[in-house]
Amino acid sequence: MDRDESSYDCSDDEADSLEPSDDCFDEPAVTRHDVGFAVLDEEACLALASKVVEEVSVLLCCGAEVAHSLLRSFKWDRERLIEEYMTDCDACAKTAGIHLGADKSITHSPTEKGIVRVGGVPKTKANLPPIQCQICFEHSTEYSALQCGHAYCNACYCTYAVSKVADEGHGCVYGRCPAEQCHLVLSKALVASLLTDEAHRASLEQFARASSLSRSFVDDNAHIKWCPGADCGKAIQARPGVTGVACTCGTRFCFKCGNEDHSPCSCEDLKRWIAKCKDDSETSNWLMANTKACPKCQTSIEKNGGCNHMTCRNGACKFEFCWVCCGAWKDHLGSFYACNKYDPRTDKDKKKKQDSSRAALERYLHHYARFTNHDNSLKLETEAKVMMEKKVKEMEALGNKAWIDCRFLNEANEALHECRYALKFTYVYAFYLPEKHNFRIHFEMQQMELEKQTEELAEQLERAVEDIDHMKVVNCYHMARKRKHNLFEIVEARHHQEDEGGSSSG
Amino acid sequence: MADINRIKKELKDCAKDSETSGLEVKLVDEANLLHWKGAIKGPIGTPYEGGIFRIDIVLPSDYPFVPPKMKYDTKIWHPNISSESGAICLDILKNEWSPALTVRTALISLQALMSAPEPDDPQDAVVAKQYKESHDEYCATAKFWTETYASPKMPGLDMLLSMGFGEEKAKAALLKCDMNVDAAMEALLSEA
Ligand SMILES: [Zn+2]
Ligand SMILES: [Zn+2]
Ligand SMILES: [Zn+2]
Ligand SMILES: [Zn+2]
Repeated sequence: MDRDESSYDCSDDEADSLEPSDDCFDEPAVTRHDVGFAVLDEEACLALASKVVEEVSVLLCCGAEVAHSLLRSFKWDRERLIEEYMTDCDACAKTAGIHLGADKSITHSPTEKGIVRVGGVPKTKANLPPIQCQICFEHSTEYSALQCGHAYCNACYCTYAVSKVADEGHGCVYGRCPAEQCHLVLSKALVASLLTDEAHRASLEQFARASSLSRSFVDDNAHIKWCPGADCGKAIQARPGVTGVACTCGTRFCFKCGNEDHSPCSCEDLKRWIAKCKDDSETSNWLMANTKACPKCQTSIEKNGGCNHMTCRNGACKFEFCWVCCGAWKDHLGSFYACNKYDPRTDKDKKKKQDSSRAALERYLHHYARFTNHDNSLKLETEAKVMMEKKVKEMEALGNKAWIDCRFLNEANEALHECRYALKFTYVYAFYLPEKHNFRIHFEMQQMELEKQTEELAEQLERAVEDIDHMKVVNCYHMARKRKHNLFEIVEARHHQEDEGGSSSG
Repeated sequence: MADINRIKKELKDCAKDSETSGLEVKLVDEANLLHWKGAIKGPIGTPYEGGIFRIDIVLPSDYPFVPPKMKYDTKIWHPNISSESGAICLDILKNEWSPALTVRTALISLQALMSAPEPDDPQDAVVAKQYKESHDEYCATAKFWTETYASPKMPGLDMLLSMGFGEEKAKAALLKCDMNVDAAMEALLSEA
């Protein structure tokens, strides 16, 4: 096995170095964000899982259920499983809860009356010697065992299996043989032979679901996740390192952290951002320190500069009042600044503090406002997109010629969605960039380009269908995607630079 | 719901070898098969040697498909047992329980736990810290607690108990008064 792999690696390297490097260089970079993940429906999951199970069972000379258990305990990492199995198969069998020795299983056939299978071989029930069940301590001739041969009476074994399903949910597939120190996990065949009663049907179904191949293939697999979209049921398979993924149902999410897709900003920055927005105490503190409601009409008024003489900006009110005590300003006339609550010392300290925090806040508000703005547009455009798709479909179904060629609109809407999504999070990314940095200038330039192009595309798509210029729209969305690609590329280049810088210095 | 026949058999099995096993169980009330009291002899060569440790055992209605609920009635200084409540941190009393295990096997596991504490999975953080960082101190404290709370023979204790004083209080008073029963009685009376 080792020899094979290394020889493949070598030939690959040689082939690469023989290729002219410059014209194939850009290709993978262009698609890096677009592929790298695949959307799988249940059928596809099952097909992929069955394929891996079959490969492993052929390679390790074991049955499909054993191969499945092994794969599950290795989180479907086929290579690691095979490597470790070759080194220490007993240890692997133990962690996976499978049996490698002679099959001593005893199961009662639910269909054939009077028949019992011992080690898989059918025998007549009458030949079973009585045993003492170690759960109820009764003697019995109606008992079952996994391949280890640890037998318990059917009534006890059944109760045991039902209690595992009830207590551990999806984890019931890890339920073990009741014998002390025995590591064998409950087999599908055993559970099916025990839970034959109508009353246990729900438990049996739950066990079957938990141990189904396609479910385990997603649930226990580090590279596959369920789409979080409501009632979607599809799964996404992603290459290592991939973050932003999109399901065919339209849901975009981050494969790494499970939040909505937030590229180009990192999971860590998103987490910080969410926390910051959540306790936007900063904002409310600022608003509290700098605005007050007009004592007469309640319009909120921002304090600008140091003068405490406030005039309500509501044209109909124009009430003049004192910032400090909210009393009418006319009462302060004559005794200039003689408001009894005024303390020039604290005001000075406050102002100093305000000035530095104000700059930080304005920066936050700048990014926050744009972030929210794109988020709002995204919501509106998603609605428009759904409606447009529906309309295109309807018209196509009616055979309306004018609409046949309108499928490009779906693609354009999709591009708008992508760009809008990216833009929203470029403001989070930018917020956490160092303030005075060449990269920041570069990034903000690209961001502006993307923003311009995206708005233009949005404008084109807002028009009535008959006014839409096909060529212009196609052009526009190609450009927008290109801008987005450029932006992502410089972000990625910076990450590579940082990684290299980090590893060489550390 | 609980398996009455099995419980009766378990009780019988426990009685069989209580001399050699150092384990003893009895029902609190003959009419209630689900509430037991157990007793474990402190393992030889440990700070618990010479003590008798009483365990409260309650069998839930789904027993044996769920583990028995056990806790120390006797106060004990041990990393995996709460010095306050007597609660026990032991895997087979939680997720590692299997219906093929019995109260007896659980008590044997407790005996083993007393011989070999697992300070990395502690129930009582204070004891666990002491166990790891100043082992001699731990041994001394555990021994002192064994003598104070788990000693089976305390001359005069029975008398104090028969007068209606609580076990813990009576033992503490005896210890304070150098096992002088009269002094201990006086101390208890003046307290009350
Ligand atoms: Zn049984
Ligand atoms: Zn077994
Ligand atoms: Zn989906
Ligand atoms: Zn993320």
